[in-house]
Amino acid sequence: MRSFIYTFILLLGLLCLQPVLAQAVYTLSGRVLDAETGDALVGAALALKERPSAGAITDAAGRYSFAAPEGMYTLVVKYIGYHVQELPLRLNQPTSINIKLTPTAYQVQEVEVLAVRKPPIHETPTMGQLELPLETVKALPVLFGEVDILKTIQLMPGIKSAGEGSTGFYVRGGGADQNLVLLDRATVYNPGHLFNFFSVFNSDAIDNTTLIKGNMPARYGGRLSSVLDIGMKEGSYKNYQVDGGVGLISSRLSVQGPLVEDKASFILSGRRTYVDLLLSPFLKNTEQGGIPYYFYDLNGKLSFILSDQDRLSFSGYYGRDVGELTLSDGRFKADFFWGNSSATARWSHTFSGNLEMDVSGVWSKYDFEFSWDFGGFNTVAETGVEDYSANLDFNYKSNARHHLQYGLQYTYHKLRPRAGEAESASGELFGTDRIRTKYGHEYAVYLSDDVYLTDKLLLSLGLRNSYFTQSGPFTLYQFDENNVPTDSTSYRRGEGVKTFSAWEPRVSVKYDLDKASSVKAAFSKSAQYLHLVSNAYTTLPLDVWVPSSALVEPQLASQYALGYFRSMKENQYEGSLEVYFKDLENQLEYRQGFAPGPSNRDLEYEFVTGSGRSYGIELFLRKNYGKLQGWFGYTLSRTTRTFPDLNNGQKFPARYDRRHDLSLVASYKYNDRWTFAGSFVYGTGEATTMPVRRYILEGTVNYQYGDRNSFRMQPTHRLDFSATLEGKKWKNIENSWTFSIYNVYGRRNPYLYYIDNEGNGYDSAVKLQAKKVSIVPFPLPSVTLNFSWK
Amino acid sequence: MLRSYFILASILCSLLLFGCEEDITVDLPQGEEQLVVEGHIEQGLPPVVILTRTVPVFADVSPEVLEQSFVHNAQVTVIAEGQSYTLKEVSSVALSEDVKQAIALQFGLIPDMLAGTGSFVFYVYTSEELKGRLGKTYGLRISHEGKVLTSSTSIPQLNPLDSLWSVPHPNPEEDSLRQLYYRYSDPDTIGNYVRYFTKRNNEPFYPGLFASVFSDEFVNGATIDYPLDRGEPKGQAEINEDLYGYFGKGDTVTVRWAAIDMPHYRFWFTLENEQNNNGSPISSPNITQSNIEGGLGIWGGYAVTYNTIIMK
Repeated sequence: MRSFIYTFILLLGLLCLQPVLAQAVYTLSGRVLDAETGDALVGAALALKERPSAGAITDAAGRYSFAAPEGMYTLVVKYIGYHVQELPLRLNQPTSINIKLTPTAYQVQEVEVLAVRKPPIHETPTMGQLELPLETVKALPVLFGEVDILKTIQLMPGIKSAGEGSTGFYVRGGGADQNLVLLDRATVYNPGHLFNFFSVFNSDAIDNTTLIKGNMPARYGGRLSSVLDIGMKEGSYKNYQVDGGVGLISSRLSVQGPLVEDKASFILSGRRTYVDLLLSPFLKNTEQGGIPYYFYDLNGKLSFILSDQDRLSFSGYYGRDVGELTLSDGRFKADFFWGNSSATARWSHTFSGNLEMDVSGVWSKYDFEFSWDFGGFNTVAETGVEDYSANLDFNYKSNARHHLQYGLQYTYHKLRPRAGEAESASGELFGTDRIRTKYGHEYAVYLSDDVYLTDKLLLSLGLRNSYFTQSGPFTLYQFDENNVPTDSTSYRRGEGVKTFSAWEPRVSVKYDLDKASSVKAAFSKSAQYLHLVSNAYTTLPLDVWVPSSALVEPQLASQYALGYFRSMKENQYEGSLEVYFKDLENQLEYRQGFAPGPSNRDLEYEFVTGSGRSYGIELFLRKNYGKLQGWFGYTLSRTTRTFPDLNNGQKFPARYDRRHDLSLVASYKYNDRWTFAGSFVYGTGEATTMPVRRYILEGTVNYQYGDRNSFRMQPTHRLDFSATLEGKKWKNIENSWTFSIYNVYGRRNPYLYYIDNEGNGYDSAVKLQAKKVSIVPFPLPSVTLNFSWK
Repeated sequence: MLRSYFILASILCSLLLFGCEEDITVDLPQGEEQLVVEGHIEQGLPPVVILTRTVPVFADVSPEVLEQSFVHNAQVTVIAEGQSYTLKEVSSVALSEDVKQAIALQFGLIPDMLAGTGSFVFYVYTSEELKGRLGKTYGLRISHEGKVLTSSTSIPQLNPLDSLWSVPHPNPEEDSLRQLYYRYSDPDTIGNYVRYFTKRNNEPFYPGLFASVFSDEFVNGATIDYPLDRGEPKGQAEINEDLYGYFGKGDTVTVRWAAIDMPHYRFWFTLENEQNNNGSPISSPNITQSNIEGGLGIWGGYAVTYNTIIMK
């Protein structure tokens, strides 16, 4: 606790510097809104004509706040597609002004392709933060034409795709479980549908997305490698609107509008696939004759403007993958489903004097269930996570030089490990009675201050203190070498089993070299109390989240980063060069020789612990405006793991270690109707473990393997292309068609390699052949119709 | 029984993906040669050890390579009840018919291969002085050209089946097919493991194709009735899915039901898992857990019982 107090005192001390540094400085704040719809304008630019260095960009709620010395000014407000507004202003006290902008044309072009409305890259205090406006996401070519935020972020430097067509991603050498994915503050534990080919985020239901690679502000915690913060869209407070789309895989529909004009709004979005219908013709020859499988999503949000100071919202998500399977003439029947659900209630209040408070209550759940009938046994296997959280966050801009954020966060976790139960025809029950739900309490307090030490030097000091307590009921077993329990210790309901805590400093410095460039440096430590270990080439719906407990220590990371950031031609172009170094402790893998299968003991007994290291250079260049827009990202990196119990204790490359990772994204607006876009990616081949020698046992060919992940598959590369046609407006309905081709030149990217063998090993006719498995080895065209009615 | 859940997950995966496979050429390192033990001991029978060496994955497939993979002149010792027995290397041709039969059965070989009429000669290490006994532990020590391999296994107590019976195919049109069911009463103490083999009429015994071993982790002390799939030879190009697991009406079926110890069970469980999931995106390679220190393979004891039934 002592160091926490010291930090607090230090921050208070910085606050006290203010009278020395400041003359009479006052804050100007408020919101920027669309004059017609009342919608918040995100990313509008405000500046004082007489003092251009003072200004701000509006946030996700259209809010702005900045400070300037006392004086007479002209406030200039700009937003793409809207008339510039100039307001005379006398600043002699803290002032609040709401500004309404009118669109330049009667009908604003809905999709402003790649129009990146965001603060220039050299100005943001957080390192490695990327804002992804949905317009950018929507314009890019994707698999089956399904717009997918998780696939777009993979095109950014430092972020690697988990495989062809996959929504999974790895950030700066961190594992798949080290990304915190938030949807309106609710943790999404499994953001993928259909084995991660599609994300759970319906593009019609979500708003802007922020991704932070590592040096997270103190308000985020619980994961080591990144935060992906996705907000659900608010309904319009002025007009009713219906949007939808019809694609090859799924259709979408969303409805929004005011409940009470200017006071309350709603939005409801749904999406359902028809992959079951689509795939049936291909599967006629299989025993199944088709796949009774589908997934769907529902998003909803109610928003209320209670007063100028108070906003209230309720939002929710519910999604499911559902299917069934019948084999062997009905001898085997199975049903399965998995999915996330969440609910968020959030109240934000602005006090006088630029203090904002945000109170939220969040419920989030992921569950997976697989049940089947075979041989007179009815068996159910399930896993899942359930969270209840409460958060209290404050945001305080005391004056021009300080921006304070502090708060409290609490989450109650219930983790259902992979458990199963079988019932025989005669009613006897067999089950995993030693695998029980685990309970954990996670607390955090945080405090951060972005303080301008001089006009050019910004110091961000943040500190997070997190606690995690595993609580009972819990039984800790000791097993002998034959996995037979020899002893056990039991804990009562609510009794503390084990407590962990961690100090997580988050420090960064920004120094402005001139008006358009800066250097930034950052250091952060973070702790992770929930873990997921995957045995497969991709994470699976049946993978199990486990808490830190008497069996597993928290994962820890330290990251150092340094970068140069520059905007050119008034932010038309921007670029950055970042170097990072990351150390990971208490990383988890399955032990050597772990074979997934029935077990009546916790999966944690199958884990081994080691350390990880990742370092690299990331180059990013982006053109923000104009007919031709896009970006180029390149990462040179190295990621290794060292486990005493794996690979004979020798260091080995992580499976997602990729020396070179490159992406090139461009879009070209040919005319008012046609926009073309393309993306190209290249990555060093994935590291994998391959057999090096063979032997025969009971007549079968078996393998002796080489070092772990010592073999490289072929590099992956792919070109995707899309064309969007704005249809002619019909009555009040706008429409557009998106045609896309995934994998234009049919690259057969390797997904995995293996050595196939056929024939009895004692027979000279035995055949051995190396095989490459590819997921989408051919150009895959798709077409999507989008429409909007207002 | 939970295992079918994973097999299914992989079936599901392969159906859902548009995946395609193609043959490629890969340049694999040669790796370091290791010795492989395939050794068993069973009640009333002598210990038998086949000792081979690993060869590069893409080494020629030929009788010469097979013959060269046998390791000759190794020191092989079995330690039982405080006494050491040296196993002598013999050509299988020289073995008595009884021992040949037993080896064919234990090692899943066609008896002809041991008769020396095949394209290469089989060599085994065995001893006539030692016969396996129930409830005993057997150490193994092998040394060859500076390499030392050690292991230990046990022949548990017999753990027989209660009964077998025949059930018609669920589809009445498949009148000629029968599913074999078994009833098994598990002893009270946990830690019983079994490996099974089936023999149809005059065919050899084959272990269960995808899963030949069972553990009592979930059924400790219980009596269960469950289907038992017909064993099949491994390495077939394609499994006939319509016939998989079934016997024919009128078949004479013998089940070889062998109690084994935990490391022996774990070896087959992991080996079969690795074989079943070779090339599957939802598993990881290199999981076979040998019980041989310093080498690969298995040294395993069997406590065997037999049951025979005619499928009505």
